[in-house]
Amino acid sequence: MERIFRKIEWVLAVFAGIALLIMMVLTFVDVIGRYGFNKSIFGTSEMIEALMVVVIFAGVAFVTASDKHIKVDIFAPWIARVAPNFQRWVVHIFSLIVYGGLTYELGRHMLDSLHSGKRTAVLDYPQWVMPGAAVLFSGVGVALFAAAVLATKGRLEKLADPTTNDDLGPEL
Amino acid sequence: MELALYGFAILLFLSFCGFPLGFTTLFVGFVGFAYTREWNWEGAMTMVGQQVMETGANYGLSVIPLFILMGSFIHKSNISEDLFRAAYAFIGYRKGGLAQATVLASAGFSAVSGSSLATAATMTKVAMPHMRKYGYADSLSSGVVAAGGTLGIMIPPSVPLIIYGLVAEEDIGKLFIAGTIPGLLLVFLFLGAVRFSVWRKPSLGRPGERLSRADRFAAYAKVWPVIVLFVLVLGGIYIGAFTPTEASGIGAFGAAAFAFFKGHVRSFSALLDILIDSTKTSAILFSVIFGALVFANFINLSGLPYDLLDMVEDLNMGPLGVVLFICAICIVLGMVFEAVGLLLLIVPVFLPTLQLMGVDMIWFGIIMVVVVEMGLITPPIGMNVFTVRAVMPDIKLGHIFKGVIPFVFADVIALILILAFPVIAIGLVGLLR
Repeated sequence: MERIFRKIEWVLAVFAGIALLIMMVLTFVDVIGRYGFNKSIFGTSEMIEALMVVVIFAGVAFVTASDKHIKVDIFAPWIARVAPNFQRWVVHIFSLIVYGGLTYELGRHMLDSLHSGKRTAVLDYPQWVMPGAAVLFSGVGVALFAAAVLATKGRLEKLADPTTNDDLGPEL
Repeated sequence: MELALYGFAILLFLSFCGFPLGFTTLFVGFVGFAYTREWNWEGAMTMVGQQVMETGANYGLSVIPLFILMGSFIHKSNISEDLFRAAYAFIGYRKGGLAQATVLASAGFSAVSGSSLATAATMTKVAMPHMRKYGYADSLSSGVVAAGGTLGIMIPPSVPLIIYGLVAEEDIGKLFIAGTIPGLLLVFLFLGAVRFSVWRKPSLGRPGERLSRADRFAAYAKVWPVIVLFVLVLGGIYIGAFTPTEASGIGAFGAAAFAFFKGHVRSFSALLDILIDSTKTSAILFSVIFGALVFANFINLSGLPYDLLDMVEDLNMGPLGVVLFICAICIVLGMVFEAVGLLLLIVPVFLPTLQLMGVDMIWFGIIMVVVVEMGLITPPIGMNVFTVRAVMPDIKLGHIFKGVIPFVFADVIALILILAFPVIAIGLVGLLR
């Protein structure tokens, strides 16, 4: 079961990574086209906005599922000593509620866009598509995170990161 | 004002207890917003949804993942060794020359990678063996790589500057321009810190061998791609040829081409590793950005900016007094928060008040970045220090913290100079645009 979840997480990461690659190529070709050949790609900014949704929301999904968010942890070791398991479960349940609530609100946002029937200004595609994609990725993220918490009994650090890299490359 | 302060206190408490920073700021901002609107949960939910969706699907913000991607390609292309050789050829023959070469190589590497931790980790691997070979004290050599890494968040393209620009709604191009001279100032001050250390205790760092003229020029010739990339990206923004978003796309593509031709990224799996790494970092940042923007909405609605303004006027602090007060808070919080988290936590709270007082927000952004930079090398949680330790586990943490002391002083001097002479930060902006 864990392998299936890890696989889904990896697919999300790959999906987001490919979207980032397309974003880079699109921006480059658009700029070169505009300055070199006086011809830009039609609707680049809307395409990049759509790709941003994939990069960010699929990214947040696998970052959450693999528990890689920024944390400060000043009191956490002390709390963990005093009340083992308590801090871990409270933090995970809190994250789940916030992330789930956010996904729910994105869903409402999508339904509003769907009912309004509005379309984008340049490429003329339905506006609900972007919040729809955000809901899809966030929903998968919430499900993966919940499953990972249950499968590991809250010890997410036990899971191998499916996207692990061996260095500190892109951190800030 | 009490409400905002309670919110901030709860936020700090939850963060210190190990709650994810992004989710915590979002939660506190959401509840605070609902409270200020007389428990209007519906309105707060709508605000969160709109804020998150607008931020996550923002064309202008594609600059963040694209510059991170550029940094990842540069990191994988092993340019760091060439940069160190070039810097060594230039300055390595002096007393403490290898440590000074590390400062220059770190500056060059961070100019195209934009990442502090990557610079510290990479330069530790590249420069530490050479410094050990020449008998450099571990305190100086580890201190210089930890401090050299911090140059990454000031020298453009810098992700913290982009994030500041987003929160403060300032032109990212202008912030990059503004960061150039303070970045160079820090490089000179770090070189001075090395010089001072070896002047005080010559045994800390002996001079290296002087290379022949031919070898020197051969070493310089290898770093041209870095210079081309830096000039292309920043030059394009400076002369107004590209927007920062376009420059990030050009820079990332150029870095990818460079990594490919150097033979380091020629398989799909290597490319995928870089893409996933960059996506992961971008997502981590965006989750904090989402939270910070929601929290900023709460702060604005709580009336804190006007209350703070009244308080400042009552105390006769003036704009400089307020900026100094904020610096003091940041220095304390910088000891426990990492760079971006701190920026996103502090800026929304004080920004409206500073704007009402007429403070130049470009200048303030540069000051914030210098302060945040200090937090990367000061105890107890100096991320760059831990990074050096992770790469070289045989060096004691205490030695590294001891080694960074001269560089912390250099940061303080830079901060004082930029506070006293704002032209250092904003002079170039006025000249070029």
